[in-house]
Amino acid sequence: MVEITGGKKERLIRGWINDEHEGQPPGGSVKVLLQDFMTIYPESGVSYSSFNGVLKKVETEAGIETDHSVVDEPQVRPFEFEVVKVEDMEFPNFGLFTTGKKIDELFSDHEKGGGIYGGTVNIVIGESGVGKSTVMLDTLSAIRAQNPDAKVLYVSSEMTRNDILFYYKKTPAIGKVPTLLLMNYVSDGNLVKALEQAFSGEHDIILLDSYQDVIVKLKEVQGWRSTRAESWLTALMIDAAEKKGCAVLAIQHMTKGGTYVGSTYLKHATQAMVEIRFDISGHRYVEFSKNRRGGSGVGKRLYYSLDDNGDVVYDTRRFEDTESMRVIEDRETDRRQDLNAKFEELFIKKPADGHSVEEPAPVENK
Amino acid sequence: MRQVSTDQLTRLRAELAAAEHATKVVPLAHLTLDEQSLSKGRIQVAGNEVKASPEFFSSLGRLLKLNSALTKEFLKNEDGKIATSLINGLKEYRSSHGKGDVMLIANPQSRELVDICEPKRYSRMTNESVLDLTERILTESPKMLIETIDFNQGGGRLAINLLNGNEIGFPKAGKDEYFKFGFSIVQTRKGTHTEMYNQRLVCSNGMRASLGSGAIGGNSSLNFTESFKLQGTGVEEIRNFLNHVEEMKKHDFVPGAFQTTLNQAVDTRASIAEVERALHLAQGRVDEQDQALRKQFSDAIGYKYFDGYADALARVVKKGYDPARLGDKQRAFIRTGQSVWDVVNSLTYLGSNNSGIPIKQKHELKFEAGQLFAKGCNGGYDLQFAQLAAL
Repeated sequence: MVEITGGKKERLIRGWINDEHEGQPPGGSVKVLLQDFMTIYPESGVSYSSFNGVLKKVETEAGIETDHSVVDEPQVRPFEFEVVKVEDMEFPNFGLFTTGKKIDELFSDHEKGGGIYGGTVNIVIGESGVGKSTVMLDTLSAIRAQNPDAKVLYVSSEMTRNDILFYYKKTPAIGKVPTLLLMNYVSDGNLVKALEQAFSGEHDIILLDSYQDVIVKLKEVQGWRSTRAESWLTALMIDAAEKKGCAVLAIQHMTKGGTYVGSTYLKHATQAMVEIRFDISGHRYVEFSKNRRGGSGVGKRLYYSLDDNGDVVYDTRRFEDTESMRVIEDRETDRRQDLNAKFEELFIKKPADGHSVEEPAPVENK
Repeated sequence: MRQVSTDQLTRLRAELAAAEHATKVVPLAHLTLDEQSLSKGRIQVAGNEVKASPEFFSSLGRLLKLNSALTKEFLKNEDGKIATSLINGLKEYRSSHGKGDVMLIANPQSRELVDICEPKRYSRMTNESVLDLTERILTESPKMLIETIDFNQGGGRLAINLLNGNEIGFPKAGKDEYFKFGFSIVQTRKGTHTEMYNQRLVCSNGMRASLGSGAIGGNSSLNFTESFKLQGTGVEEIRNFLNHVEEMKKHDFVPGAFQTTLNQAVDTRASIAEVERALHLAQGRVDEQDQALRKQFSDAIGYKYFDGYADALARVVKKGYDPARLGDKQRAFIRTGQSVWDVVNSLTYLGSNNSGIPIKQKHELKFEAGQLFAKGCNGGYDLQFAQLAAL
């Protein structure tokens, strides 16, 4: 391994050689090596000459001479985009997993009462203490009860073996859910391998608790920067969903102001955004703010509470009441629009050009 | 008991929908007044001439924060030139200081503007939606019925009076006294709210008499309204409105202040002033031309229904005072043998039943009963706190 010495930039380059090239000075074009380096440390400010200088220094220390001449540099091929036909594409088998609870209707618009589709990444956000883990573990537990063959996995990054015992007493649902405690792999340096295995496609539904904490651990254990950790974990989840048909539920923290933290890429690449919140009266509810598999459930609040056994009980009556009130609201909106039209009919004469008086005709450019 | 039938409700639904005021949100800057706007009752809306009622101009004045007395004076004198300059000036000022849009409210029957307000202050649900809500309430509360519907087409006011089937008795009110409580959904021009509503059933002698709408005898000015205003027409606002109804239902629609006031009325002796006011009102409503008979009826009212009055006067005389020389405050300090509740009962009985005494304008007696009763939750009865003098 290369000794970490020198100034800030040199130490960074030496660390990179250890991480990415197992401590051996890499060969090949210095320009290409610098590009690789910069994808990981884009804000390092390392110039070509300083990068080249450190490489030479490391080679001298190691007593080797590496050939940096450009041999067989690939020809730059013209870019061609690929046009696909969905019917010709191959997809993994996307399962549908139901909980038998009201939340199914929010997860998707499937004609038989909804459910979680495989091949989706669902981000779960909510303020601390609202019950994100509890609701999602209850979901996993209910899926197991409804679909005994479904392979579910709870990946906890925060809890130790002892923590989970106390959590089990409070939330017995976790007892039935296969769990991976990432803390066990932090000290032995196998964190990345454990995560790669967890998302390898062996499981149908994976609950990651939490995305942000895994990022922190990747940064601390692997020495990665935030952008690298985020892009690696996001790609891992998306691959598991896209290529292996997994349903991924990833718990994410919120800012104190109540907004989503995390990469915009993740936000846009996910199929659903589940928000678990307190209302102004302190009651808890689940609401989807985005769902590519269930647009009709977006914006609807499903209130819940915990029963004596720690199970999540959804307030189905309130949900249905709200739906009937939405009907009243929609009718009222229609009626008000009619009254607006009535007003126009009574008093507002449309000009001959057909434009409303409140929308003046566009001025033509002369 | 009166009840609005399903057929009546269906007919009324169509009538209410047709009479619904037309509304539109427009920029304030689109309203233009000219020198003859006030005198001719018209304004321009985005260049279109529109009829406008005097109420509209009053509301416009309020919206622009124009002194109401000044607005009235302008309207009275039809002082067009100054008014128009002032209103247009204020309009320009308000337009450039946040009051961008205004809600215009028009009566489609008279084809004129009748009101104007800021859009956020308009939280009225349409009559049809209110009827939808009413039907939902009736489904969820099978004992509830629509007792009456009051509708004023011109004013846009609608009151749907809902009454619960449960008869509620109060220990101190007497064993033959029962009340039915409910609430009214009231539509004003700009809002929708609930008010408490009750009907009193008097069962003495097997007779059942309705005392009309309102807390006591149709008196809507009483402080038992426990009003709840609809804050908007979205799902959450509708839910809050229905939750409020649900809360009222949990208490059998009995307003919290009602029982307390009733207890006070039963436990407080009426003052000479209170009995005298009730007695004179009742005596003044005797409908008899013959002087001798009229006197007999008046005397009968005194000894049959307000007997505490004569006794109290006799006590005053015995103590050496001249009742005729007592001031109002002194009369208010002297107790009679009747409770306030007895006086309320006497007034409502005379105002509602065939007592054998010919009475005209009976509703005034019920109204007065309501006023007297409501004193308990407003300023207090004359002697409500008399015991505090001995502290």
